[in-house]
Amino acid sequence: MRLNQLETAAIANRMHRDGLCLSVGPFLVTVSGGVKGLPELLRQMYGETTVVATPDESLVDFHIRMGPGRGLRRWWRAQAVFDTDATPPFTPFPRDHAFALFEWGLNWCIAMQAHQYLMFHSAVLERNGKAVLLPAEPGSGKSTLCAALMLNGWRLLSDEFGLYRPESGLIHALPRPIPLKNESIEIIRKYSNKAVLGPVFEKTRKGDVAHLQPSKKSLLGSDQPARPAYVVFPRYIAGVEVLLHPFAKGRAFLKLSSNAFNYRLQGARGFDAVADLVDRCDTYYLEFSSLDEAVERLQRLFDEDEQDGVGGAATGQA
Amino acid sequence: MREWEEESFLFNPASGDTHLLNALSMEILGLLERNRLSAEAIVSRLAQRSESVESQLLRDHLVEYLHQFEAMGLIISDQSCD
Repeated sequence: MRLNQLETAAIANRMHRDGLCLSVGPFLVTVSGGVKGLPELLRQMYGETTVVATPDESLVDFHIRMGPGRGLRRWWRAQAVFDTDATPPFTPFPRDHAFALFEWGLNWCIAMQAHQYLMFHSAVLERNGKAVLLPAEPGSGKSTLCAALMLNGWRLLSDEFGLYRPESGLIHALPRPIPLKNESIEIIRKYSNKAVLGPVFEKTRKGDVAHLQPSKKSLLGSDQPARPAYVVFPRYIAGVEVLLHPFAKGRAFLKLSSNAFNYRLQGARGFDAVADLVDRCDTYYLEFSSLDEAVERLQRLFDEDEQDGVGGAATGQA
Repeated sequence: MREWEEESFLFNPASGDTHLLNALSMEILGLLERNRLSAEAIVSRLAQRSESVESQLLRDHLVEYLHQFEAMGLIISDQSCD
């Protein structure tokens, strides 16, 4: 069953009763408790996500409880509290920011625990069976470019986590809402009439944030990993012409190894994984100011290589 | 160890650190991987390999290189073993 096949009241009911279990990429996530407005946003943003009716508790990766604030904060300047099996580093948020808190909290759960993967701070998208990693630092325009590519029909594997499985050489999909920040919200709203955006959460620790709903194709492809063919380091610079040029492999290795959340924890496995990834992929640097130009340039890269028969392989199976 | 173009990357499992090394570093470590050598012996072998290497210049830098390798946990000097 898909989440959008349930009415909002039914979602709220499940959360109150046994918890709502969602299959989010390779993870089973149970959300319980109740915060006003959260079931509705979960339904809107995770619409095509599979609901697991009776999960085997031992297979659930993350148990998340979203509750109201304590004491007076249940009513006065109402708060939302994120809780899970481990002790999360979050102070309560205003109640109407509960969805943003849920998203950051789930990020935290994954980053802290999913060490079966080498986790890159990277957007990952797939086109014609080939995946591209867009690893970047905050402020580089990664999420905005990722959103634009998805709105142009690319399959979103993830905006935040490149979940790389060294043993298979595949990136696992984790399609979740794309958090757009500040100016990017209006840029994407104007960019495409297909963009479905949630409410703007104002004045968060990252400024104003609104989430872009993943495309149906992306959510339905949640269980399909993809083989990486390209690593592109994007950088938004106001006013520049689009520029895509090869990036030295050694430099790419340095950037990627420092970009992975758990590189050091992985030891030799991480070193070999990053090196193998760099060996297998074509590595580029992308400078852009126009989303249209950047999307067109990346599409051309994929399509030219498709015609030449180079640049990666077909979608893989786990 | 992996190499791309002129750059070499070495993972040290003992420390968990990854090092970016230049060609000379790799030559020195390559010699020390196979043999226990004094600084003089390293200079002499490197000078034999390449006529363009100026022995005195190499000697001046070698001690610094060796200290750095030791600090990075890539080599152990005899003095450390005493």
